[in-house]
Parts: sequence; C-alpha cells; structure tokens
Amino acid sequence: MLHIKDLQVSVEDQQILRGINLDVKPGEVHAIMGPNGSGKSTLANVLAGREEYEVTSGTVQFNQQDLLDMDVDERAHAGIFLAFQYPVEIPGVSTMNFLKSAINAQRTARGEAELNPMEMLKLLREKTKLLGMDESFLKRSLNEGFSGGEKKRNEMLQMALLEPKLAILDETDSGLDIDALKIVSDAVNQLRSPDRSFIIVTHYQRLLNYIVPDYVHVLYQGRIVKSGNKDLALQLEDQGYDWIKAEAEAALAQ
Amino acid sequence: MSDSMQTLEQHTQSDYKYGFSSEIDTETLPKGLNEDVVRQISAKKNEPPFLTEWRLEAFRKWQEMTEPHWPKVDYPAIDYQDIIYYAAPRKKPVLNSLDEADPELVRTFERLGIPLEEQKILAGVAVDAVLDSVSVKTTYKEKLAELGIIFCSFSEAVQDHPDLVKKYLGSVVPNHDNYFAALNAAVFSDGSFVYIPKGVRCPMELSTYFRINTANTGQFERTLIIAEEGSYVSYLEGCTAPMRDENQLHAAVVELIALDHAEIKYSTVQNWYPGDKEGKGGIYNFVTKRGLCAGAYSKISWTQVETGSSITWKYPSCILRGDYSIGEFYSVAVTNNFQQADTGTKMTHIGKNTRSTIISKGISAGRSNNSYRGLVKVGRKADNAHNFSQCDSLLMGDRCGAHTFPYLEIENNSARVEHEATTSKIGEDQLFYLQQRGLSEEDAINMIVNGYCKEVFNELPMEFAVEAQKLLAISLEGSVG
Amino acid sequence: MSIVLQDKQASTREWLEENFQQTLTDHQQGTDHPHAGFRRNAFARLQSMDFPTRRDEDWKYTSVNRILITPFRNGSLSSVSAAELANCQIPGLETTRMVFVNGVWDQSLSDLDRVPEGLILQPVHQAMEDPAVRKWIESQTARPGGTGQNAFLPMNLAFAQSGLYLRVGRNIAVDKPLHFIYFNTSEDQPHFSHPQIFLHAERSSTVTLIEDHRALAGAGTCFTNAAAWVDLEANAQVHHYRMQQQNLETYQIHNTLVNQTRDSVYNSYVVDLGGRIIRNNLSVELAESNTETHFYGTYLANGEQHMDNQTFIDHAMPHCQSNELYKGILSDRARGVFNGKVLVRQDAQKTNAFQQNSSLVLSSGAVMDAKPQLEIYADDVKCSHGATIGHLDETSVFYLMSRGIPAPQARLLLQQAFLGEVIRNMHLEEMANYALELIAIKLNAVSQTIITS
Repeated sequence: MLHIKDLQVSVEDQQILRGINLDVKPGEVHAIMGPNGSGKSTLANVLAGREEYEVTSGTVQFNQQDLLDMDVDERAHAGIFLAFQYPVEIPGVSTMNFLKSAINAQRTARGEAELNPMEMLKLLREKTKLLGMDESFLKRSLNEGFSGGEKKRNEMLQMALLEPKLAILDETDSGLDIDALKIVSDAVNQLRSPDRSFIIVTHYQRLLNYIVPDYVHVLYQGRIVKSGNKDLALQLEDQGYDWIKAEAEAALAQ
Repeated sequence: MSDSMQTLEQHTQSDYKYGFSSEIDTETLPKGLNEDVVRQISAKKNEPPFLTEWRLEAFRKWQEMTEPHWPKVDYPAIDYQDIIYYAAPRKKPVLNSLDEADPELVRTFERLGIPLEEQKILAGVAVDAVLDSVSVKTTYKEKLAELGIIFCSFSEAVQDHPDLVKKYLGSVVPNHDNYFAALNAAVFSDGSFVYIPKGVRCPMELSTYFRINTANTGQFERTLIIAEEGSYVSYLEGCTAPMRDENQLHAAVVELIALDHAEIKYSTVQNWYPGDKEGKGGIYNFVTKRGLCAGAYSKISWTQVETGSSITWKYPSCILRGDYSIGEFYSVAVTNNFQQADTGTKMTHIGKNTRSTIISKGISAGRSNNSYRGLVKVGRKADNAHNFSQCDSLLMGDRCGAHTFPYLEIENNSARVEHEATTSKIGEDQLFYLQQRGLSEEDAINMIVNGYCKEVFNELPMEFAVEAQKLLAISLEGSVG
Repeated sequence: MSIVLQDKQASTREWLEENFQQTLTDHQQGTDHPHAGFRRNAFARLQSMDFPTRRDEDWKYTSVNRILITPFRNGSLSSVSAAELANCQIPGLETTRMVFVNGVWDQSLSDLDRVPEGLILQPVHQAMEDPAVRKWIESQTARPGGTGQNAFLPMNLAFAQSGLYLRVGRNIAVDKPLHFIYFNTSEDQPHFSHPQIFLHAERSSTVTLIEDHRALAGAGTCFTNAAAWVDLEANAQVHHYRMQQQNLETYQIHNTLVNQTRDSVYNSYVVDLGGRIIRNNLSVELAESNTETHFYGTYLANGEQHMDNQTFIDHAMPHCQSNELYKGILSDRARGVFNGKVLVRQDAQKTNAFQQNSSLVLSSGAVMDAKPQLEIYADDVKCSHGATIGHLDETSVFYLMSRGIPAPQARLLLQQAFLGEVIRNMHLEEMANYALELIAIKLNAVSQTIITS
C-alpha cells in the first residue's frame, strides 16, 4: 500500500529525515516512536503533503501512485488521512458545515454523488454517537474553544466519517485522560480492517496497550534505527531511549 | 516562502474591477474654495437664504479649524484649493423611466453589477443613484409617497420640504463638528433625504449607489434620515469609484434621527478605488456618520463592509439619548496592499437603560494597516447602561498591521461594559488542515474568511450580504487556479 | 510613612523569630537533618524580604498589615469530633482523606491504610531524607513563580508543621480523589498554620486533589498561610480543587505554583466563601508545548470580606492553551480583586489564552477591582480577555417574579446561576453539586441578613 524509499526531508535547509525506508501493507498498524525532535511529526506531515517540508531525495508510492507528486487535497481524495497533532481552529465555520464540505468534496473527487441533507445528517448522528460526542458540538465553530480532548475526538470523528485507506495519527493520544484515550483507541480499533492501514506516531507506550500495533519503529535523528513488535515499546517505556541512542551512535561510528 | 503562502498572496493581489470612467458631460466650477464658491453652489441649487447662511457659517468656522492628524493613517498634505467643489451632469434629466437616462450612465451601473431594472424587479429596491453630485434618477418614489415616505435627493428636499430640512439639518452633526464635517457643510452638493412618518414601516430597503466620477472632484454628500415615532427604515448605501491616478477626497456626512420607538438600520458596502498595488491613487474617505437615538426605545444600527479606499477614517456613532435606546455597530474592514483604515465607532450613553453592541472584524493583508478605534462613553446619569464590544483582527501575511484602540469612559458605576479582543493569523495551518480533509484551496480560503466575518454578514440584508461576500472574495482572493 | 511601615514589619519579624526557634524545637530535628537546614534557609530568605505593601503593584488592593500586626503562634493538634468530620463528607464522593488540625496532621483521623497504590504520600521531613526527592523539592521552591514570589512562601517553608510530599507514579491513574481537610479550631492565642503540599505527578499519571480549608465554631482569629507546589511531568493530568470556608476573623493567603511539561493538563477549581482577608496567588509556568490549563474561580463575599485572586500564566512554548474564568458576587461592604496576568513569550506561537472575569456588585458599598493584563510578544496567537462588573439583571428578576417566584428567591436563583456557570466546569459532578450546595447555603444566609436588617 505504502512504500517509502530513502525519504530525505529538510525544513529551512536543516535536514530532518535522513533516509526513511518503510513498507506498510494493507491492514497493518505501524507505531512510530522516538525521542523529541527525531522527525516523527515531520514524517506524518510530509506524507499528508505539508508544503514547508522540502523533500530532497527519495520516493513515496501509495497504491501505485507517486504520492509526492500530488496536492494536499488530492492525497486526501486518494485516501490519506492525517489526525493532526495540533488540530486547527477555524472561527465562524461550524463543524457541521466543515464535515459536510469535506465529505462531499471527497465524494465528488471519487465520482460519487454528494450525500443529500438527510443522508448526511443520519451519517453525522451515527458517527458522533459512536465517539460519545454530544450532537451540539456539530454546531460549534470548528475546534474553536474545544478542550484538548475534544479536539482529538473531533479528529477521530473525521477519520470515522472519511473512512481513509491510510490513517496517520500524529500524537493523537497526547494530553488525553484515560477515558478519552479509550474512546480514541476504540475509534481506531473499530476501523481496523484488512484493507485499511494505520501509522501511529506516539510519545507514550500507554496508547499501545489499547491499540496493539503489528510493528513498532523507533525513529532517531531522522532514521528508523530499530524495529520490532509491541514488546519494543514496553522496553522503551522501562528503559527510555538512551540505549537506543547509544546503539545508533555506535552503528554510525562504525 | 512556501507555495501555499504564495497562493495566499496571489489571492490578495487581485485588481480593482471597477476601474473605468464614464464619459458624461459635466458642468463644473473652477478649482478652489472661497466664500464666493460657497455662495455659487448655494445659488446653483436655488437654496433658501437660511441654508446659504448655514453654509457660510460652516465655511468661516472651517477656515479657523485645522485638519486632524490623530488617526493612525499617513498621507501627503491635501491642497484644498486644488479641488473642484461642484460638478453636475450637464443634461438636466427629468426622467420618468430608466429608458430616458443617459445610456452611458445605465452602462456604468451595469458594469458595476447593479442593473437598475433587475434590481427593481428582483429585489424590490428603490434606488436613488447619485452620479457625481446631482441625483439623476429616483425610483419607487410614488409608491413610497402613498405611505407618506419621502425619499429623494437632498436638493429636492431643500426645495420641497424646507421646514424638515431646517429643523433637522445639523442637529446631529453640527456644521462645525469637525474639520471634514465643516468642509462638507460648506460645500455639500447633494445626497439623500429620507423621512418616515409616524408609525410607518418602510416596506422596502431604500438604496443609494454613490459614484465619484469627475477627475479631481471632491465628493461631499450629505444624507439625512428622520424616523418619526414608531417607524422603521432600512437604508443601504453602496459606493464604488473609478480608477484615478490622483487621490480623491471624499468627506460625507450622514445624520440619522430616531424618535420614540423608531428604528433605523443603515448598511454600507464601500468599495471605492483602493489605489494600486504600489499604493498610488485611491480615495481618501473621511466620513462623519452619526445617529441620534432621540426617543425612548429607539434603535440605530450601523452595518458596514469596508473593502475600498486608500484611506478610511470613519466612526459611525450613536448618541443614546432616549431611555432604553439601543445602538449597534457591525463592521468588516478589509485592507490590502497599501490601504490604511482607522475605523470604529462611538457609543455615547446618555439615557437610562441604554444598550450598545460593537462587533468589529478587521482583516489586514499585504502591507496595509488596519486600526479599530472605538469609544464607549457612559454619562453620569446613564444608569444601567450596557455595552458589549468585540474587536477581532485577522492578519494575512506578516507585513501588515492590526491595531486596537478601545477607549472606555465610564462615569456611572451601574454600567456593565464588556470588551473582548482577539488577534489571529490566517495561514498555512488552516489551509493545510482544510485541504487535508479534501477541500480545494479556493474553497478553503472562502470558508475561513466568511466564517470569520459571519457575525457581521448576518446583520446585512440578504442581497447585500451576497454582494459583501463577493466583494471580500474580490478584495482578498482573486482568481484561483 | 516608610518608617511606620518598617516599624510594623520589625515587630512582625520579632514574633516570627521567636516562633521559628520554637518551631525548630518542636520538631526536634537535629541540625543535620536536611529539613532543618531547609527551614533555616527559608527563614533566612524570609528575613531578607519585605512583606508586600500596597505600593507593590500586585498588592495594590490588598493590605496585609492587619495580618502582620497580630502575633500569631504555631497551632497545635486538638480533637475534632466525629460529627465535625462527618460534616466534611462530600455527598456521593468516595475520597482518601487526610485531616489536619491547626496545621498539624492528625494521622488517626486520616485514611493512612487506604493510600492508593502507585501513590507515595509522606511527611516532607521524611521525604527529604531521600536525596533525589530533596533535590526535587529544592528545585520546586527555587522557581521564580511569577506573582507567587512573596514573603509568605518562605514563611510557609520555614514554619510548616505537617507538609506533605505526594508522588503519583508513571501511568498511574488515582481514581479516588485525595481530600485534604484543614481545620482551624479554638486555641488560647491566635494561631497560624502553614498547609503545605508538594505534588509530583509523573509521566501519564492522573490525580485529583481537594484542599478543604474550614474553621470550627469558636476558632477565633487564625491565619492560614498555605502553599502548594505542583509539578506535572509529560502527559500528566492534575485536577486541583480548593474549597475555602474559614470564619470571618480568619486570614488566608494561598500560594500555588505549578509547572507544566509537554502534553500535561492542569485544572484549578477554587471556591472562596469564608475568611476576612483572602488572597490567592495562582501561578503556572508552561515550560513545554501542547499543555492545557484551566482556572475556574468563584468568590462570594459579604460584610467586610475581602477576596483577592491573582493569577499568572507564563506561556513560554508554542501550542499551549490556557483558559481562565473567575466569577464572584459582592454585597454589603465586601471587596473583590481580580488581577489576571497572561504572559505570552516570543517563542509561544500558536498560543490560545482566554481570560474572563465577571462580578456582580450588589450594593453601593461593595467594590470590585479587576485588572486583566495581557502581555504578548508572539505574533501568531489568539488571546482574549474580558472583564465585566455589573448588577443583577432586574429584567430577569421581574421575569421570574411574573411567574410567581418571590423576589428574594428570584435573586437567589439568578446569583446561583451566575456562579453556576463556573462551577459546572468542575470535572467531578459530585464536587460541582457540593460547591453549588455550599454557595446556596451562603447566599441564603446573606439574603436572610439583608431581609432582617
């Protein structure tokens, strides 16, 4: 589904990713961990098409398409979804209006008919309920005045509505209490299917108790320096990153 | 700079679409201003002696006054002797229908996107179109006359209703109120006059389109609206000016009077020529607008969408004299390129239990400067006054400025005054977020800007709200893709 | 003028000096015990500082002279009846309870056997025997602390009889709230007490702390000089409640200093009902990104009560969100102060900071001074502040009366609703109900005195 080959990325002339290689097959869940500043969020944003990151080398294939050649909205239409680390506030734009516009824009792009107002309302009600959200929140301005937990739940609602092929969660679990964490995990687990994949960027092993990943990768200084299964995350929780750093630097020195 | 920021810049670099000049013969006085010019203007308009005197009095006071420079705007000195103070279309039209109007004029309106015929039929709007200084066309007059409503040019009102003019002219904005108001009082050429009799609810929106046309003609309109006890009127003012190289001075005066239980809603969409991308040319818009809530339970509501002019200096205000009277101010002010705006309102609470609301939305792009300046004044006897102010600024790009100057003068401790202010920036984050969900760039920008202005657009009459959104799109977005 | 002031402070220093020696003796800590050294350092700092006067901008509306002229002594443990204790039960809420009387921990009344798993709870003097903990405590007290920087902090550190150290372990969610009850009871002499909490919430932990300050009948004049240091590691969540029901002769100064690191959430809920002079300094340092902070405060003052809330939020890093809502009602000759400062430093882009203070002033003798301060040095931020001072809306009173509700009851309802807007943000419904109940009781009492006088 997703093939990342030697991806190198710079921001303002500073190299952040120094050659990422990653294959994600349909139905897989990959967790990406790593210390601060290792490039986790950069990877998530580059895949979604954020402009200020400059790809200096490498290729990204997504379902046989050249992902790097596509605009942000084209990638969304192709099935890439990014749950933002910092969901953006847009005053005066109701969440309802935004969700409708996004759903219909994607349907139109896929050559499907737009949903009529009744179908739309039914869909929105069903999914808000699924995420334990009050319907009144659809009338509020997009993310404006939302608490951190509400913002993250809103991201999960959008994911549930847009049904992407590849969902990238950028620190969706940060700042959540246990209840909200469970809701977010449930949303992901319910969407797990043989043809949908997830890349989960996280800082905290705790999340992986709820969403069990197929693979765990450790990003350090712009490279994946270690890969394993969920036990690697537990090891990191206990021992921190120092041993990984030491290993990586030893490997580099050779 | 990233691509999306560049696109944002493109959006904010669209050209002025109304830059043309219609060729209609005009009769003009020579440049310059002295007592003779004032007398000539008054004589040409066949005005009664009280008005000639009033103008001369204003002129004498104006000569003793100095131009104010406290607004946060910057412009070269104005040579008041280099301005033509009177220009009138030479063909004195007495029109029964649109067919009789100068075809050039009709075409002008069509290019502005306001075909009179269509508006008459579709929107039911009575239009008093002012081309330069003398009104040439008034519609729906007869229909309104049946209700006793007077809606005519100021000149006609002077001829036909001198008593009303004498009673109310200058009663809200005195002829020496400020430098530009005094100048206007001395030389005003024409404008609109509205009188709504007691208990009458005006059945349609009254609308005037102003246009500055002749090169180097300062335009000095004067509008006077009187709403008698228990009456209601909604008045729409739209302004567009053709492209000129030299700056043109515009110093209008608007006076509103609402008596007991009367309500006046005054909406403006101002799209005068803002100057080019280098800051050359454009209108100086120095306007005095003030409403007097004279009666108990009266209400005056100003709504403005300001996208044009190179310099805007304007504070539509309310004097809340009647007990329980209400003043409102809703404003969207957009500045781009080198535009400067210093705009806001004054709410003066005098009566008891008076209420005022201020919602101001500034949008700054390019290298422009956009200031909100507002005064809330609660007098000693104004028990239980209540004000709510919200001033938001939106920045597009990082070379523009937004400034907020709220003044609160509270002399009565029963007052409840609330003030909120925010400054935010539209940027890559918002655009990226919406696009990541599948929206196109153009839709994303439209969504962001219209969301931001929603509270003000909600106050505009339907047909104006549509135009306002269009104007905003033109001012900020241009053609995408 | 300044001489008079110095004299006042000199006499204060005298009774403090006497007390301090007594405190050291009382606690029988050898000179080599780390806590003794810690106390001495704090006392030296206290002696080097002046107490604030009204010429200090942050203390402009609150004079502490009245507090300082009283020669307070450290209080001692006395018995609290079962009925009094039962009275403190928060309906429907199961808590782990710690009881303090006149500043001294009463272990017999405390739920020592029910300390939740994963939580370390120790007296500060014991905790300080662990060098790592001592280092942590010292780092907490060394923080600049914004408006919290005043002589009352070292005073607390020097005199506290029963400071507690709390550490919530990594990934631990303490589900039962910790309920710390501080009683003031009658003593021969006016006493002061120094409630002290050091709370260390480790990575991804969650804890709720309820401070409950109250006076028993006949407690007389007391001075409660409380302080709390809260340190949130990454992704930690702390809910911090403070309910204050002192008697009308009691002075209370409360300093809370919070430090937040990435992804953490700190919520403060304050209900001030009692006390003669109340001064709260609440100060949060947002040292890392993506934090969330909420301050919800209420104050209800009548008679001669004086309630002053000072808040300070220091946004130093990007993507942090802070939100403050303080509301209060003042009647008779009561005075309220709100001084909320929000600092957004240059690096703190994408900050969201909101602040709102609303007060109802119900009589011409009551005064409210509100001073919101936004200091912004970053350009891509969203900040707002609002302050309203007003009267009860007579139209609403009229409306309720027209539906048959008597005027006094109508006024009560509206006042409850006014404060309810803050209270309903409490994350525990039981706490919200409890707070509303306490507010209703006080509002009722106030309206009774108005009717009968």
